[in-house]
Amino acid sequence: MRLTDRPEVMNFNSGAFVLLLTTVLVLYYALREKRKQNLMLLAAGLFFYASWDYRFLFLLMYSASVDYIGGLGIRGERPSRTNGTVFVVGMTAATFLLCAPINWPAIWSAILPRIAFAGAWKDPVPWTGAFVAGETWRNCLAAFGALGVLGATTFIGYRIPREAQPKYFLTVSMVVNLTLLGFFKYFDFFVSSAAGMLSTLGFSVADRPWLLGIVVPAGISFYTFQAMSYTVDVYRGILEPTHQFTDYLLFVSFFPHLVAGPIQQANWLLPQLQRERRFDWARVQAGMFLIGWGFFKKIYVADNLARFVKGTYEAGLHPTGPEVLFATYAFALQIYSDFSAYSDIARGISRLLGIELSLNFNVPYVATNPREFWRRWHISLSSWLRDYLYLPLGGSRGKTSFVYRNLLITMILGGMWHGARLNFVLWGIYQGALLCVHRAIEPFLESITPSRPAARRLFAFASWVVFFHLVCYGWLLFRAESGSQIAAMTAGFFTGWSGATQHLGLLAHVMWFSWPLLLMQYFQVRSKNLLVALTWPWPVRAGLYVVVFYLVVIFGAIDGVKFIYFQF
Amino acid sequence: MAALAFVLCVIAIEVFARGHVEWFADLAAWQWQSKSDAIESGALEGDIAIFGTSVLFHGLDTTSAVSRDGARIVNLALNGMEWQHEAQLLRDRVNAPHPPRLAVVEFRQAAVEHDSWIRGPYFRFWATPGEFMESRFYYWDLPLSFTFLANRALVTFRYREAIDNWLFEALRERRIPDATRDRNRATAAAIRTRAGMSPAFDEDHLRAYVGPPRERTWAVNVAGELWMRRFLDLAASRGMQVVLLLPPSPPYLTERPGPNGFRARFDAEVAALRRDYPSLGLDVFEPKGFALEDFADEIHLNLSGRSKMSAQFAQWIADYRPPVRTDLRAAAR
Repeated sequence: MRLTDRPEVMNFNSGAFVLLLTTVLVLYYALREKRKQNLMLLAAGLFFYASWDYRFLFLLMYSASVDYIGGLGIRGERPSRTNGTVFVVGMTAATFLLCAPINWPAIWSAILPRIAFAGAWKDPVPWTGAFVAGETWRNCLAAFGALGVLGATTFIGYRIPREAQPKYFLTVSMVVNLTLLGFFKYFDFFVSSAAGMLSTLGFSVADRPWLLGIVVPAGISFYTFQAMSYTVDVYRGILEPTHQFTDYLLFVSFFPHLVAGPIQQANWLLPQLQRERRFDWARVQAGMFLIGWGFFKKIYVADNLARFVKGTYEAGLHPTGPEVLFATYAFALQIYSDFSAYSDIARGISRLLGIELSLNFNVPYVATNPREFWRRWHISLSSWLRDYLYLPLGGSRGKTSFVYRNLLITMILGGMWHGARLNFVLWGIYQGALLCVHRAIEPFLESITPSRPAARRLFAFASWVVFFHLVCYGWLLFRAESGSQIAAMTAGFFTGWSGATQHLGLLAHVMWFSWPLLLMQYFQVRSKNLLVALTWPWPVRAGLYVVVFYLVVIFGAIDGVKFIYFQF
Repeated sequence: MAALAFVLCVIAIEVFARGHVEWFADLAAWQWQSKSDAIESGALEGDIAIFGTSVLFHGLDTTSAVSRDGARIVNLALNGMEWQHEAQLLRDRVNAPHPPRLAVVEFRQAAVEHDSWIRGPYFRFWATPGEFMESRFYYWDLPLSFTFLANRALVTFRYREAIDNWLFEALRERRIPDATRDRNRATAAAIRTRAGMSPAFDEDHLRAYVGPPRERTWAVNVAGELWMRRFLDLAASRGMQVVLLLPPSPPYLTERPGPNGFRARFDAEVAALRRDYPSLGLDVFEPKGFALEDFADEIHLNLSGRSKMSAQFAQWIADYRPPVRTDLRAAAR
């Protein structure tokens, strides 16, 4: 199995995940003691990640190792003998088991039928060739080399003057995490872009030069950002470093949010993992609601709309204006439902475990301006970018041109965080431009806002309509497969409106799969409570559960698509 | 309280749906349901039983076939059946009051197709929890147990696509549609009156193939071999005879000569089985003379093809004399 072959992450809406979750919950409540619970959660997280590709588990553990050492080094502390032994032995064993050319899936596939059919299984193909054919010990040696580099940098770090240590260990953490992220996610993109530029300048460049085609490890954008927040928080004195490697590894690999967030800042999640958890029925109830509602958004709303969006955004098509508009509406609802569903399920599962993950979406499509939108959309990412990028750059202080620069840099990097494709860069630039323009015209908008309530409401509604469509255009940039498709769809938007009524069926399709979501959001906004459904009388709640249940059972895309944000 | 009310509502809806399945069940599901009902009621008990897939379910009409000794011939084939299903069905039949003494089994391949298995009607409708366990969760796919449970516990989940279609038909027609119910009733009646066969693909025609030569293949995998031998073990233990029926294939699928070609591998498989199961007889019935216009697709026969195969089978079974069992002959000495 090559690093360029990509199996699938264990989807939340899969039988395998339901089985894992059931097992975890049963064991969690049976174990009671925090330390045992944490070890069990750690095993579950590593298993969850390994079920996608066990070899990339090494990357996650290596990143965690660097930051674990980094956090201690920043404070001039060292792990205790016990913790140090656990760390060294654990990482050495994991490196060997994960990186040696042992084909674990093949061993498992060969052993299991023999056990299951009690020897009656007569496989004509011998299974003793457990080592991957053609593979060498190269990956294993490279992994041990990386461990050696970690050891050497740690050794050097503890030898330099104490006053230089914080910056040294922080730098090591940043460099390692950004190198991992940059290499696995952006290497091919930058090589292709550079080759394209050289070719444009007249230099002769080989077709697809030096491209490695390596798979992007699932969740790397999430766990590296999370890991960096840990070392920065320790450096800033906001957080005490943890001496328990297992606690830190659990913080990074906590399975509900491991591959698609919400990104948790260390000062929020790590202390919760280190504290005793108490059973709270209200929290469990809310957790179950979040899980159920999340699955509904994913299976009924997002995955059904996905098929419709795919049909319009296929490469090579030239959709007309109504098709572009309705497909973009559908994508706006799809990406929101898909991503917020994952966050809801992650938060719901965490609540069942007594852990509170931070809110990631707060009805973002009611926003009337880009600043409000980014306080409601992917809150964990926007908060991270604000705290670790925008504010260190200077934030809103200083000259207007510097503020615009800071906004653009932050949003461009935010766009690139999503992936190494031109359309994500364009989307980032677009979002940055919206923020800059809004900042520039905000005084004007305030000056023309009517004072009378009815007129004010009408103005707010108009602002919402305009801004929502600006957001939708951003989603067109985000969803398109290429620059030429962006141009084609933008141009196509202005065509075909004379036959718009022929496409009302498309709009009806979108509305059919989104009406429950929109209705619930209306109640959430009106009550300013995302869990407003839990306050309704029990007959109403029962009716809601029955309707939602059967919409999923009968109309849900049960064999659905994977979560969109898994690819980041 | 809300949770309790929810559970009670779901139970009520499921009970209601279970009682009105014939209104919306899709054809494949209804065929399995009807055949299951027919078997349980004793309507498909016979001395000679046909086992197979949709090829024989839709392609072999035994109503006019009469064996040498006047035995009743019943068609127990169903769409999507695999060797495991046939072995389990045989186990069920040999324990019935009138077990078959001759099994005519479709012998097109000795392989189990995993996707066909988990997406087919057997998984959705037929398999009991014990049979599902017997397959070791369809070959160590433990999460499949959740889908299996959902299919068993919720009628609406089992027939979800059919209910979806029925609801949209009701919206379009603005009335309660009854075409599906009428079709299902006709299907159930046909299965009973035609000894288990159900017509399909009658008007379909396979198009002429244009392209590089294609080869007829003999597919074998470990799962298929395992269950095929369990089928034969069971038949042998009950003193049954087994006839292997090799269905026809379109003329453009050629049989490569030589030891790795279809015919050599098929003959080798049959020879090996005859060596291992001397008491079963294991005659081969291979209908011949099928042209392109007899096929609905690459494996199914249309009306013309069905008529031909059914006529040839009727002729063959009328002349069929089971071989003397070598184990009994040896015992007699």
